[in-house]
Amino acid sequence: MKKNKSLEKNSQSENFISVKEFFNDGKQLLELTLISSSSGFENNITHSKIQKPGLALAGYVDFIHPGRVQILGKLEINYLKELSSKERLKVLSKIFQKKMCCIVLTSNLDPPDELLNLANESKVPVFKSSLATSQCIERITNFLSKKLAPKKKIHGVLLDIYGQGVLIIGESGIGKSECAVELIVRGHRLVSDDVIEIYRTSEGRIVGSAPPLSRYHLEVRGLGIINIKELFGISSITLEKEIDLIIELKKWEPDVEFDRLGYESMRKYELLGVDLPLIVIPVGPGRNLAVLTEIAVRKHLLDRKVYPASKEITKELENLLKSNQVMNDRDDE
Amino acid sequence: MIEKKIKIINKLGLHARAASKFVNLANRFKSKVRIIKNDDEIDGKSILGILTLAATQGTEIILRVEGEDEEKAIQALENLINNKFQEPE
Repeated sequence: MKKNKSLEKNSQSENFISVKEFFNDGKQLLELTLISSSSGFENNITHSKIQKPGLALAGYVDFIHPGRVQILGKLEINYLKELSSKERLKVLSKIFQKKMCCIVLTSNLDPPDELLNLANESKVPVFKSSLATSQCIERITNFLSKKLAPKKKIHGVLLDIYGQGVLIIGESGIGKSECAVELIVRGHRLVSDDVIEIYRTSEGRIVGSAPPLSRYHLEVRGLGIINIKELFGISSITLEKEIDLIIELKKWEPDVEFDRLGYESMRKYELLGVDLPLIVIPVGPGRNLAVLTEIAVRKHLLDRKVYPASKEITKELENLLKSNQVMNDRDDE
Repeated sequence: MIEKKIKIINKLGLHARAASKFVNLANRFKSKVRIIKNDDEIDGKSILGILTLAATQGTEIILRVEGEDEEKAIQALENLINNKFQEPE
């Protein structure tokens, strides 16, 4: 995955993958085989949405997008096969004058010879997929939107606590990993310690997972690197989790004021352009961080779920009082 | 804040023992220590992060140190890398 550096902080950052990466990582899922030469593997795919050439086959090629995977299904191939070889060559030549990243033929269809020749000449790789067109389009779109999503590595610990994805951040040495170990002992699950790979989904959620090398592992000073999956079993880990809440552990300093009433629970922390709720917990002697973290998550759940309910009941009561008032007024008349 | 581009020159790259030496040294300083490789930025005071970099011989990394003792820290860390983590090859 390459990233456009100058736009790194911009949520609209433009990502791309090479056709080579598309083929290597996607060939199993998308059931792809390469049927052209591999020249053009360095072409870039920039969009997760595919394109069906449609009218381009009739000569209207203006809207062919170089960064989108071109899909040819039964309809397109049959149409091409019905043309005379002279017409076919004319139509295809016009299309291949446009830049394209790659072409995928669905349903195991065989391309006309003219298409393959032109593709090799213009360095456009052609793949064949055994999937039906609709299924192929769906899988390519999902695969690419994940690949092209804005992503980043961050420092912290990601856990699943009461089903919520909780990211614990704070300076190194503050006790994030120790807090995580205790949470795991209490039955919660580890996603990743230290380095977390995050990406933004098309729905604007942030999903975190562990880099393959450090997956299942956690470092505790004095004990070294421990394997959580081996020590605590399969139920103590989870591979991927959407982040719902961020907890920052902060050194307790006498001159820093902390939230005493809980009014500030609406603080935000930005990740890849998405604002997530942040709770800051001061670290000090006699404070059990794991328990405090658990309570913070419970509080977050409560704030999110019960608060609207209480609002609703208040509203209902107000309405009821109002209508009773009206009835009473009528009785008085 | 000080930033410095440094090349990993020892044969084995940032292997586990080297990484642990680096982390221990980094933790002696108050400053924040970050290592940047390509677009990835990791905490230089934590071993798992350094291991995931998988930096081989010849890899260029950027050290970013920020804090009251930043000059001493970057000097010491740079020396460690340039002295091949004080390990025989």
